[in-house]
Amino acid sequence: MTATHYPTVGSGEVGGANSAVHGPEVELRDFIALLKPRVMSLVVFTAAVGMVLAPGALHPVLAIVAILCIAVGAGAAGAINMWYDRDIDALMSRTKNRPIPAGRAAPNTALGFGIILSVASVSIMALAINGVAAGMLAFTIFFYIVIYSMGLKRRTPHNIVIGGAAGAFPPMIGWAAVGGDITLGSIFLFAIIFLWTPPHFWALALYKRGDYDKAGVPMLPVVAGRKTTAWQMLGYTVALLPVTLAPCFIGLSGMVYGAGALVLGLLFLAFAVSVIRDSGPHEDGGIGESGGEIKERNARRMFPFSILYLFLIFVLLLVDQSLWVAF
Amino acid sequence: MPNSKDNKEYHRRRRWRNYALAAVLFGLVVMFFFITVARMGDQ
Repeated sequence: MTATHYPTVGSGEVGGANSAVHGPEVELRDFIALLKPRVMSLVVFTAAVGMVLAPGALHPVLAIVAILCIAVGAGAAGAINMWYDRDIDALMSRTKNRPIPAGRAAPNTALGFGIILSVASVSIMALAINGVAAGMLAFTIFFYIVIYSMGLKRRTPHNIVIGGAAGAFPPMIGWAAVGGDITLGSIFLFAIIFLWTPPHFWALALYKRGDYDKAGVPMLPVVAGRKTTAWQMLGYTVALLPVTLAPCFIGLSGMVYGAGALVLGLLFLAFAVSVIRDSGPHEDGGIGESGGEIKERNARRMFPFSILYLFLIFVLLLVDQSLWVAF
Repeated sequence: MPNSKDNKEYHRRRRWRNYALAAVLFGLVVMFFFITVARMGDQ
């Protein structure tokens, strides 16, 4: 791995002359950036849907506290991930402006911030909600940092297949916050996000594979090439379709959700097929040389659609549930 | 030597961080109050 130089606390490289004495003074917006707010928003939304779908009820104040704990826990994991990945973040165009590689935050500040928030979110979840939800939140943070970031990310091209579990836990935590248990319904919510993660991330990795190669991260497009990646994306998208329809068959949702999930699933499949059809010899030229940007027109289209897809699947679950309650 | 502009900027940032910390602590106090009320209501 390429050795990279980072501004350190007291080096005087960040924040003017006072930094030499006191270390960089981190701005509020950088503390927020350390929490990965965009990832957090999807985590919060899926967790909230898990809470709504779970049988039983939670006091509104406690529901807000549970959501807050999940959001802060996810953000804390993001901050610790940024601390650990600061070397490769500095090498990739997508991440080089994050607070640590950009020199706006000292690595130890991010680590301390992440640890404090992790402990606080899990403790408050345990005290205010229940032990199951707190235990799952703690396990999710551990899984994301230790299993995914430290263990899998730099070692195997299947990093995000297993690591995707970390992003799939929030609806289960939301469910457990209300019901205090893990049931088939929450397992299916987990499975939807778990199977959605590989095609979602590999779509991004396809057109950013130059970046990942430069940073030495063995993403599937870098290690196995675009053709294998595109076919694996299709495989996961095919497997995802029946899993998204399963909530209809276990009584978790009705036909409104089922019809919507089927249409969305077929659209997602069409995108996956279009990525395979993109793999003509003219675009199979390996790694991009400047900044890691590669053509990959259809993968570029599939990536934002994948985010919309997951959002709409969970919106449909909510809408269907509301219809059940209303009629 | 730190100049006065740097010192001003440093103290400005410090002040805002202290305000933010105070707001977080106050928020925690309020949250614990409402958690207690909600949990006692359950019993």
